[in-house]
Amino acid sequence: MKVKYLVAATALILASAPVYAGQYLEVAVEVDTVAMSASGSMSTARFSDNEIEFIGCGTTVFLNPDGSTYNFGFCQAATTDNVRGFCNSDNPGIVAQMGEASAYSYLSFNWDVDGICTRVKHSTQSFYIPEHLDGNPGRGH
Amino acid sequence: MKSSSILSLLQLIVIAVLVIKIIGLDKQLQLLNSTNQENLSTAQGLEKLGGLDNHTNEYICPPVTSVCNINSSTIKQIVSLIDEKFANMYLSMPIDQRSIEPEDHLLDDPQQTDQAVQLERVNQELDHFLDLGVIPEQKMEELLTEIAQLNDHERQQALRRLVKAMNSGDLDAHF
Repeated sequence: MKVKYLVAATALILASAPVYAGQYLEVAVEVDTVAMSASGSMSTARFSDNEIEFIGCGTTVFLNPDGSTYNFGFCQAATTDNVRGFCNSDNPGIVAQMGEASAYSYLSFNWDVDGICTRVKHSTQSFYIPEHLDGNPGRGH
Repeated sequence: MKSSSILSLLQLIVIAVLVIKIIGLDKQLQLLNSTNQENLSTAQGLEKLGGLDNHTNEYICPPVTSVCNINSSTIKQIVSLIDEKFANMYLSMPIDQRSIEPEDHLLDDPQQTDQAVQLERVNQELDHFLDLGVIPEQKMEELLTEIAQLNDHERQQALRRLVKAMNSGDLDAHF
């Protein structure tokens, strides 16, 4: 009898989910076409329950036939309502910042009437890393 | 006595000549006025709207504005005045804002010719995608590669056009 209880207790302990400590912050993508700004957490966008939301920045270096190079950087975002914001830049400082974003960054950027990025912010914090990173990812708490 | 007579005679002759000339001028003037009147009365279109009289080659104004008798020399004067005005305006502009060379001169430089061709191609592609309302991802990469080959000014123009369309929703695309 005691053995049964011992086995059951051991099974329960092994089956219980591990306890995660630390804060988790979900930040859905927001785009303001009037203020020309966008922000959001990349992990929140990626693991959202829709196929529309996204946010991110990227850089490309073009080597032209004449030997010149062109550094192109961009940021883009879309909300769950498919409100979109895009900007680009060839400013070295801005492009460098665009390249610093990591997989679980929080991003925020602004642009002007010509679609030129005027501000790019990225923040890599532990609370942007989602709880579930394998199998069937879900929102962590 | 003889010299004074001769002088008087000469004076008389000069006065006579002057009078004859005046009479002649007056007749010419009368003839001119009568011709104008005839033109005005015979040409119905000219009476109402004015126009060029083929006989006198003068512009006939409608009766309301009959003070304006414009001939070709007047028109030439007006044109030369306008030319002079434009020339003065051009010279008063800062040198760096003056556009002297026509665009055709750009074709003399092979590199600039390539640039012009490249810009034309990019604009055509943008027009095409704007008509479609969408840019597939692969096509976006190709488009950006072509835009990258433009000079700074043209590249900015092309990107401005592209991103504005994406932000406005006219173009379904992403980088």
